[in-house]
Amino acid sequence: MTDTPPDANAADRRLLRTTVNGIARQELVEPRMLLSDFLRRTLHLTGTHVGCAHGVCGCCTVLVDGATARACLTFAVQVQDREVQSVEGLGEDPIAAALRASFHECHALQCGYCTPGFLMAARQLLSETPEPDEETIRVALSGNICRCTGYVNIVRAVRHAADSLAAARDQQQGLSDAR
Amino acid sequence: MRPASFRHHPARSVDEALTLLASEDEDARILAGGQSLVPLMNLRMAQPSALIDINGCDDLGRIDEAGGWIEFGARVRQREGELSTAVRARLPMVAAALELNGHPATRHRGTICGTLAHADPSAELPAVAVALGAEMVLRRQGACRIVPAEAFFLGALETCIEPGEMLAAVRFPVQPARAGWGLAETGLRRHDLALAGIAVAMLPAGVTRICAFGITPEPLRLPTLEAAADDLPRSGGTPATQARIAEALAADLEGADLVDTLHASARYRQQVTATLAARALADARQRASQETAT
Repeated sequence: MTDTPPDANAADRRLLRTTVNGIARQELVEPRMLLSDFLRRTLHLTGTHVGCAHGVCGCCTVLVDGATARACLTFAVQVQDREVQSVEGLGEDPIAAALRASFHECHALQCGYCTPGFLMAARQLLSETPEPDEETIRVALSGNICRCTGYVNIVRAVRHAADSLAAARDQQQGLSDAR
Repeated sequence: MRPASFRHHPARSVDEALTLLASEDEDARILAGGQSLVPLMNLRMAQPSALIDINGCDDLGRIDEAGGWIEFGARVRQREGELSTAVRARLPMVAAALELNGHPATRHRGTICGTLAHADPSAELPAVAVALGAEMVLRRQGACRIVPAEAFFLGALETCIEPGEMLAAVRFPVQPARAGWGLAETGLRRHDLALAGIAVAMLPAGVTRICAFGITPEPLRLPTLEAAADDLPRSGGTPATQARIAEALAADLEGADLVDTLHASARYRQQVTATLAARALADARQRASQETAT
């Protein structure tokens, strides 16, 4: 797709202005281009995976204006003037950092294909519910499929991340109390 | 899997959307959340000629409460409805249905009107709309008609929306204090499509409205069970109560076009609906009595 000049075949193309992972982007896109293809093919951000391409598996979960969304069910033209964050953009976000460490610690990925989507969904959960119980975690992740079936460790990792974030908060609190 | 080409028309207001809709052919569709439409487009099961994109229509993004009704514009996201304090307090069954409707990531984009207009037999909200006596606001350029939820759903993925028309809003009557409700469903995974489910709305005047979903092509009112509901003993779980529920349900489902698939046979769906009905009725009664106490 990126090998084809934008004006070739003179298909209906729109100038898309959007911000992806903090960087302003301007590209010509066909209205039918999915956000998942825009990220992967146009911007070469291949961290967003496409599993089922019809909204069932959750691999392509990204953030649109800070809320999780399926990139395979969103047209690129729908993120005009919006902010998109993909797994590459989580960077130094403290919740994402805790989740990455916990996924490593708890062996929460096997083949890793579903991991970007799980990280996005888990980050959304922990940003809204800092100390979820196991049931809450399972419900929040119910839209993501791990084809390796490694759910036990994924749930454990999210719980572990929540605990380590809580410990960090307590420590912070202790420090400010001591002052 | 990629959608076929379509003409994309972003609209900034409902009037602009209706003008665009009138100027397009009858295969044009409204694009709001796209959480039901885009999967069908990716699978090429739907190939709309044009999409009127209402995501920029701020005038369709409101939840309004007036005159005993709460009205949701066509761009109100499911998640917005689910988290709205007015909805949680005065339309608790709608909030509960939205929580069961898909996953957080799809609810962030999917709209309340979208799940109604899509009319999937296994969706919760159509049945809840029928049980609560919701009204659909259908608009076309220069005209508007109000359709009760019960007359809106015609079959699987089929509604009375005509070409050139759009579901501009849906409104639900605010539930009175001392109203009870119950919503129960079962499916293959949490928040996924329901194999069978039931919505019970119990009004203080002794009026009970019950609607099943997932078992027939359209949401199905259960008048025999509704009539029997008042006479059922308060304890929901006894074998005798269960038998009476199953009997009433059997009368309501006589000759119904029950969904029969690999995932769940018609017989299973009927049996599990009786169990779900007992659960939802018990919940409704308990909530009604709690409301009285407070």
